[in-house]
Amino acid sequence: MVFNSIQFLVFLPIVFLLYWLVFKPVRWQNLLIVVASYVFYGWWDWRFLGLIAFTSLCSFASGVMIEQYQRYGKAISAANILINLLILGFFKYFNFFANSFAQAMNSLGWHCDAPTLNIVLPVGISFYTFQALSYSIDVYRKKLPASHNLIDVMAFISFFPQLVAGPIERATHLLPQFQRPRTFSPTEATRGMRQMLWGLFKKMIVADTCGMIVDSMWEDYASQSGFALLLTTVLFAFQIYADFSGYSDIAIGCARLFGIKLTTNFKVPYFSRSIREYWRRWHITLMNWFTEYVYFPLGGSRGTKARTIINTIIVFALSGLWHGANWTYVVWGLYNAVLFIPLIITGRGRYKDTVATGKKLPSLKEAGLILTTFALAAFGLEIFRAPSMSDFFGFMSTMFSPSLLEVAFGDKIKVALAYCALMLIVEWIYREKPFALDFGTSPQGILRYRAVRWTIYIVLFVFTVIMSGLHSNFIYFQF
Amino acid sequence: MKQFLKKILIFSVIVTTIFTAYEMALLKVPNEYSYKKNYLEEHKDSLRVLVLGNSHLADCIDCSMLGKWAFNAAQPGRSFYYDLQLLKEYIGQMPNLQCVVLPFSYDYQYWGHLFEKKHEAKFNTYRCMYIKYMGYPYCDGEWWHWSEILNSNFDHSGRLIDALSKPLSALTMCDSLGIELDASYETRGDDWMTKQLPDTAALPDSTEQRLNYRENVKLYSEIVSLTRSHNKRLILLAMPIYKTARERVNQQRLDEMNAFVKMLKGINPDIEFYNFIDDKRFVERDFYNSIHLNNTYGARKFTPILKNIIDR
Repeated sequence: MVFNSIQFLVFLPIVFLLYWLVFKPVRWQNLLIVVASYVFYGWWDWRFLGLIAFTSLCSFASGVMIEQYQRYGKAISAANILINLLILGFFKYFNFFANSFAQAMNSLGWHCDAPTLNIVLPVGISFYTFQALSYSIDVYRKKLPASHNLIDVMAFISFFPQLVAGPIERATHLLPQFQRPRTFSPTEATRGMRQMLWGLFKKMIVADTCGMIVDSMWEDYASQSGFALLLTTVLFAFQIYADFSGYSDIAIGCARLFGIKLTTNFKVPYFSRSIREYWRRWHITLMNWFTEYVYFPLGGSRGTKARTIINTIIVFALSGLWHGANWTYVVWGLYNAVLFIPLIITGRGRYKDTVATGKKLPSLKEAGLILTTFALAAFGLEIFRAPSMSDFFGFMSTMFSPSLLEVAFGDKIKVALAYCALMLIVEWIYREKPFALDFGTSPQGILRYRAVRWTIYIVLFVFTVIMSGLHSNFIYFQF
Repeated sequence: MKQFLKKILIFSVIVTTIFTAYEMALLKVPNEYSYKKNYLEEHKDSLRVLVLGNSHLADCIDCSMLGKWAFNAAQPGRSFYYDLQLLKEYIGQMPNLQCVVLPFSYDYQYWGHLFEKKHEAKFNTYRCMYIKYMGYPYCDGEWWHWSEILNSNFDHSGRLIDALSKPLSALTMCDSLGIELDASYETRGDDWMTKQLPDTAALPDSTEQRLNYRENVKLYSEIVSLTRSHNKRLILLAMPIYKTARERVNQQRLDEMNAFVKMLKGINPDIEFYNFIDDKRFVERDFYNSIHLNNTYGARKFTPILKNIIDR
């Protein structure tokens, strides 16, 4: 089931009403969440429900065993990690590694046929596996007591708003929320609805409009002009942002309806002044996961600069590989590491605050930094988008050709750019808030009138539903 | 909680009202579906030649050249399911109908969007347009199939905007006798000969193709039986294709096509099949893309040929 579908439009109110009106005790609410989440996931393919159940069971059992047999805690946690990574590896990476191994052997002159399997990739497997791993690791590290309630752990791993594309929640943050009673907050629920509305707009209007153009350009990039491919690069950057952050907004907003607070996943990354800041604002929960469970155990930045650089390269390469079984993702990860290294050496690019805090517009210098960072990120995202590295080089060689100066905007591109501009303007205005349209409890100016706020909601919703073309899937479902 | 539910309810009522008004407003905007349905309704007593099928005929049969009382009711992307529904409704109400023309070619028996995931969006769109503007639900139609907002990929908002700025008669994409307007020689583009190239013609290799085959056997057989029981001529046409497409169609596919027609002739030996796939009379300028004739030169050349067939 996807958020932008009629099935979800029916599913959500039913679960919401049952949750608050019928299943009031927390244990029953958690059971309902598990059942609803399995229905939500099973709508796509029920065969893989067993996989989520098995992952949940392993994590639950490992938690209990770590607590009971503390001497063997490390081994138990390692075994759980191994089982989960084997499942992930089999479904996601088996063919990739088999093919890569065979290619390497062949290039060395030894004939080798790769044993490939016809494997269907379960939706969201990377997300829930990482979430499951965080549980047993945190129990082993004693950051969290083991849960003795299987339903709580199942709810934590399969919570439907964030099951298939995150945010990747840490057990220390989400699991305790399932363990304590929740009360309905109209303010939070209203905020949740607003955030979902904004997420739907980003996905169904901005991402899908850009996506149609990007896909058609990529299909036949060799016959496009350099300028058209430059626009494609820009549009893909907006597509993937609107798609993924749109999903995160819907997920976080949806969770608010159930009294659950999920971690912010995007904080206006395209307003970053450096790649360091960009990665603090882009897919935050994944980077936090890698920082906590890979970067810090490797030594983080406590050693020499050389060691820090190596650790950074490892983290970015792994985070690239996490996205999929393709060398393009690894190269994309390494590309970002390369951009990061100068900042590690010089110690620059650290920005704790949001750009132009308290001001209406950024300074010229800030605008320049934002544009540079966006250009670097967008260029990297083309590696991410390319079906293969040879396609990426083909795309770039066509883009950086004399036709790069043939400035022309088709009607569809103008519309897509207008949507992107609208999204950017609204997000700029609300850049210091957790999400756009977060008017707060006492809105200022014209927004203090309820009629104005309602008009915005209605116009935005009606516009989104009417103008959305294809009811496409979210990009990050494939990961 | 009550307050929140009240707000949600009010919001839902407002947006549902807007969406309903939008759908109703769209109903007032003419399109080729409603036009063709109305035309059949108004002329069912007098029509003598009825052209059905998909874009292969919709693009290039100019009924003004077929003599009086011919109508091109074909529509791009139509599956034979809807041809059958249309025939079921009208064949008994058309006393003067002499002849039904349908397309059939090298891969039609495997073609269909009913069972192909990649065509799902198209299928949803057609399903919506046929139920909303022609009154033909697909099998057990659900209420939401009626909504263009929920199902259609056609540019409904654009149509509504056009309706405000253009005369209503200019909104249908076909002429008064049903030929499609946008498949012209002038608008085909430089890469026309590589557009819509057929898949390299291999044997059916997917479950979906097999399902389509089974469905098409059923649909064609019903169409053949229906025309036979009403004593109407049924003409099947394999339309000309350009050499870029022809290169991809192998003998095996052509043999399968002939075997399918033979199977249909087993139901009604009188059906007529004309194969123009290799017809050398059709040259570059007659095509709209690799597998469609255009509505200008192509139509002007093909329609008289069809007229000769009908007049036999």
